[in-house]
Amino acid sequence: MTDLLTNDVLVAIALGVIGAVVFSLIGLVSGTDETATIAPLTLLVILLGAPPAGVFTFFLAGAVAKHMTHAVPTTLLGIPGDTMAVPLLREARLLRSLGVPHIALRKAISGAVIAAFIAVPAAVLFAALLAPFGDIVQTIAPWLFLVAAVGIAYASPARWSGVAALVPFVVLILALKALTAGYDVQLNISYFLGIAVGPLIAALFLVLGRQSRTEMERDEPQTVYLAPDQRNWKGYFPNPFKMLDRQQTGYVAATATVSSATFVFSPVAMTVLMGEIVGSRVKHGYHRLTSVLAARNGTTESTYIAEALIPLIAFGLPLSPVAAGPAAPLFNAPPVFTTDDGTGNVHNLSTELSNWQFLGWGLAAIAIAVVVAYPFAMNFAHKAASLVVGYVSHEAIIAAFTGLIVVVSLWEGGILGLAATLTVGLVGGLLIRSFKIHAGVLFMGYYVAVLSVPALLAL
Amino acid sequence: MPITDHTSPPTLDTTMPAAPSDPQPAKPRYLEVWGDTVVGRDLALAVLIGTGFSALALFGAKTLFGRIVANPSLADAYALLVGIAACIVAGVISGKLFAPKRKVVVAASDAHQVDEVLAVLADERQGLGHVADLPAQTADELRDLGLYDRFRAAEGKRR
Repeated sequence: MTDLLTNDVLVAIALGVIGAVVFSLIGLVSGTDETATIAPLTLLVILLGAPPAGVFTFFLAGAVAKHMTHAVPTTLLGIPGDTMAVPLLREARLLRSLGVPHIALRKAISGAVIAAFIAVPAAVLFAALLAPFGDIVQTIAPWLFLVAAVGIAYASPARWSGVAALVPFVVLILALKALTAGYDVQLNISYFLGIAVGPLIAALFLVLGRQSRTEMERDEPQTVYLAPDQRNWKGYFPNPFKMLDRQQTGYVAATATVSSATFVFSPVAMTVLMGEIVGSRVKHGYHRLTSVLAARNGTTESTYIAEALIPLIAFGLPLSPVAAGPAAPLFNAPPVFTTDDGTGNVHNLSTELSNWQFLGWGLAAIAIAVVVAYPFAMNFAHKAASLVVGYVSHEAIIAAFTGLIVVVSLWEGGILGLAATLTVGLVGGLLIRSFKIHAGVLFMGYYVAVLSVPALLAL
Repeated sequence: MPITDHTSPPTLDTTMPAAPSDPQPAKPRYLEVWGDTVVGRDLALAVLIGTGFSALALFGAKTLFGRIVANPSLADAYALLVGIAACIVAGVISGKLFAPKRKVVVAASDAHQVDEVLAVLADERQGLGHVADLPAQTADELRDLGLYDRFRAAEGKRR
């Protein structure tokens, strides 16, 4: 028994390190959406039979590390590293124009470190306060998902058209479920994968058509402006508190705490909002740029951590945009984890770990991510950014991702699995492209199909 | 396929794409797919390598582990792991075969750009502010960057 325990502890730490290293590297590649990268890889770790603590450290260390190194392309190239980096862009570009991109990077990732350490205990505390309502929440879950789906769709740029577009998407999921059931095939991962990489699948289909290809044609390759290398500090492991002044540390701590409580809102919206609040309080222009950047990148960490942790601890249901997107496998990864199958049985990461384990492993995951990603981003940012843009072709990334789509869907459901992933991916990708909704909306649509629709029909 | 020839190797530190200039009215050479530019022929090959190689690896591993591993779900998990490894290998192979289609320009900031930023900041609701209000640490930081005097001069101009 003791052997098993120590073994699990070692596996959890090792998986945390693997997650931090892998996602530190992925974070350097601009445009690698969190849902498209974190969800499938976490799913893999679960399916390969990792212990629950290891699944959790892999996910959390990965997400936290990615939201540090995503600042590298954002500040040095002026291209957002991922979806959460988009709100950082304005301040990052202005600081780049001032000729101090290295300052932008330092402020951003130092804010991330401080915010991540604050967010874990804060999120566990808020979750403990909310937990007494967990049973009620679970009973009314089908309706909550319906409301959440409508809310998240309406909050997207698509507004009501996004809500309307969800209806046929839900029907599509139901139809595919019925189709595969006819062949005794039960698919889950294939749907998630299809939604997560939908934009890529749609783009590959569109490239085949003459008309649609014309719209994607460019005369020039993409131009990438790399800021020159500037490094004027010593040592390998810089102290994040020294990179921010006392006032900035205070802003980061405050926004991290606030954004840890607001777990139901869109993480991008929270990041924008927290930056605005800080910006309205800082009088000097330069101080404002750097403070907003630190607070915003801090929020990309804290809101992600809280949006994953609070639903896990308090409800066991994926009731937040992050829980429905990048963290979705923690809730639902059959046959290992299942969320409410209509009979009220929840068996997922939330039932596997206690609150204290979430707190302890959460802090451990963040410590691992900080040790791996922080000095790496501070010391090798310029070299890494120039290597990625100079030597890693987009074709190579697409080759790896198309391989992932094929392997995982064939593995789950053979040809039917692949067909379902391509169908969901094409339709979902086109919806994302033309309605400007995000993948989280479609994930909610999936839950509406499996949870809310049966409840609706039972009325 | 309206696809022309192969493109340049990584063009770091240059300001021009190393593309041969075509005397004819050139067809667009690049496609924007999933947020970056690619060449159609390379994209097609990359997708073939990615899907073909990983699918073969998955089925090969499935057959092999199905025979030598007693526990079927474990055999399944091993096959998946091999399949995923094949995806990474396919990515590396494609990376070796196809060079990135990006123009990389190393761009430093100039005095003109600094002025533009100062103007943008001054237009914000809070304005440019006064260096005298800065916390000591940030004032020192601004001095180290050589921007302190620029900011101070700009605030004088706008009063």
